Amino acid sequence: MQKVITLIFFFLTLLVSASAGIYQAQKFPLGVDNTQRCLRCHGMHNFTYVDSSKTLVNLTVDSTIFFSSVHGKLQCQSCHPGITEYPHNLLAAGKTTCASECHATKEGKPYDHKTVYETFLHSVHGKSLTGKDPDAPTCLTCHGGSAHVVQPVKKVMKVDEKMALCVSCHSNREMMVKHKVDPNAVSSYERSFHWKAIHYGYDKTAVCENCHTSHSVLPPENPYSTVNTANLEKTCGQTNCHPGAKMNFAMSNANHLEFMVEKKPVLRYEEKFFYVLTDGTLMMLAVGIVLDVQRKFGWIFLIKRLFVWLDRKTDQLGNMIVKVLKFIKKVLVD
Amino acid sequence: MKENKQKENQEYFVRLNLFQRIQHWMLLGSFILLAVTGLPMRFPDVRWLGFVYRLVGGLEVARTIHRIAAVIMIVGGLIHLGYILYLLKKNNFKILKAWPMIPTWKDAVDWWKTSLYYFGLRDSLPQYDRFNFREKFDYFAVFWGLPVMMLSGLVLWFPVFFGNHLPNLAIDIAYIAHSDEAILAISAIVLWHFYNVHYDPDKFPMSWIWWHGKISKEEIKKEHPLEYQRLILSDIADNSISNKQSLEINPKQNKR
Repeated sequence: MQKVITLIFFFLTLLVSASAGIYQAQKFPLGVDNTQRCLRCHGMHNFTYVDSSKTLVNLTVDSTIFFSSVHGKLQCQSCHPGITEYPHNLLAAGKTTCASECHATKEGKPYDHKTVYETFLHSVHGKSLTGKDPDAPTCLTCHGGSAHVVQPVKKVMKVDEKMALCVSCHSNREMMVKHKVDPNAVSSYERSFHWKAIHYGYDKTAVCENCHTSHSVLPPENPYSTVNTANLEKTCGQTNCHPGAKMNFAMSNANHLEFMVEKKPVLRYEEKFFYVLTDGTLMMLAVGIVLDVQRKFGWIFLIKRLFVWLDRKTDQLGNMIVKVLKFIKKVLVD
Repeated sequence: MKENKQKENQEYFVRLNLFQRIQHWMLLGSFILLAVTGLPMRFPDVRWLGFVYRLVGGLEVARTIHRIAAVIMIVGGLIHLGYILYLLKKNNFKILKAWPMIPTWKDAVDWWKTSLYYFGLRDSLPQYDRFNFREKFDYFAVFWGLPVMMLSGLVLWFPVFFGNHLPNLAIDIAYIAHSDEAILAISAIVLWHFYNVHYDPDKFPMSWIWWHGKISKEEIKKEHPLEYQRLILSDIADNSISNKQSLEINPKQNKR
């Protein structure tokens, strides 16, 4: 009888521990519509860990910001398809880029960033995506720093904020010189009417991206560049800008006048002419006024006033010196 | 101020008739508006200038004011050119007689003699005619400056139209010309013209001729003696319209 009871207990224990083991090894599929489940952990503040290269990685996703971002309607798995079950492999989330297939739809049609990504890759800023240049901007540099907070640029950003994105790097002279970009681009733009309008609070004007585009910035020598000579007419003549603009209008360089002045002698001479005319005329007139005044009051008047003033100043100076000496005496002697 | 003196024997001559004064008022008003709305554009880094834009209700409003004032100035300028043609016709195109502002050799000589006087090498000022060399300089500074401003301003106002039909650099040239000439014009007015009519110790606080057009006998005898002599000695049959109207002598009355 005792042997049977021991055997029963043995098998019961086996059964319990086995089932416990099976319970532990089981993973739960996440299924669809699982954002809330992910946010249960990822919505916590300071949800961080230290990875193999000793960097602190923050996995927090602020749910308020996320839901109001452009990606807020997507499922986590749209962009993180590697996460299919819980617990999930730590590294399975990491390989998402902006160009990843994300199964998102916009107005009923499938949507992805592949085209923009390709365009950006071929632009001068695209070197960031190949990982060769740490200074170059990535998608996230301008689009909010994290895919979970991205806001639509056109609708949310004001003109001066858009400009600030470009200016943050393009006004850094060392960085510009290092990358062989003209360091005076921003300062010359600040002499244009387009900038002055923003400065005085009027936003129907052109900032960097209106002429240079945001994703396909190319040097003017490149035939596909919007600021290439052949394409300028179309760029300046955009719908809300200067419709009807022809080549001659487009060739004026009122946006970056400094560059044109450097290149064209006629503009340099014009500037010099006005300097000479202005200064020469005003000097002559000032002399005329001084001569007139002094004749009405006499040179003596002016010179007397000068001496009176000098006299007063030397008195003041003398008094100050005396005071300082007294102070020094007090400090040293006492 | 001179017109407030109720002296019995104060005689007045009309120096500027109403039509001439209206031209000056048009110029004055539009110049001030243009300068005030234009300067903040030229000096965006000067914070207190931006106050002007806030005062009128934004950049768009200031832009509109600038353009309306520009039209007034252009119209005033055209009226003046028409006036000069009218004077010329009246005087059978004898330009020296018709246009008192024309610079003559006498003005150059006057400049020399006046400079000597300033340095104490002459006892007295030379005798000036209706407009002395300073006033003529002022006039021609405007005669040069305003067309420059008007033309470059029009190019900037209609950049697509002018940009398309003029050579490449037209807009850039216009931009530089408009900014720089504005500074010259405003400085010259505030410095030179204002000295002659405001800061000058003989005239301070203001010479009111631009308002009522009358110059007192003392003043014309002292400052424009040749003109005075001509008025006194000439006949009423003199053809020059400016002189004819200047012949009104008002004894005793100082009323405008």
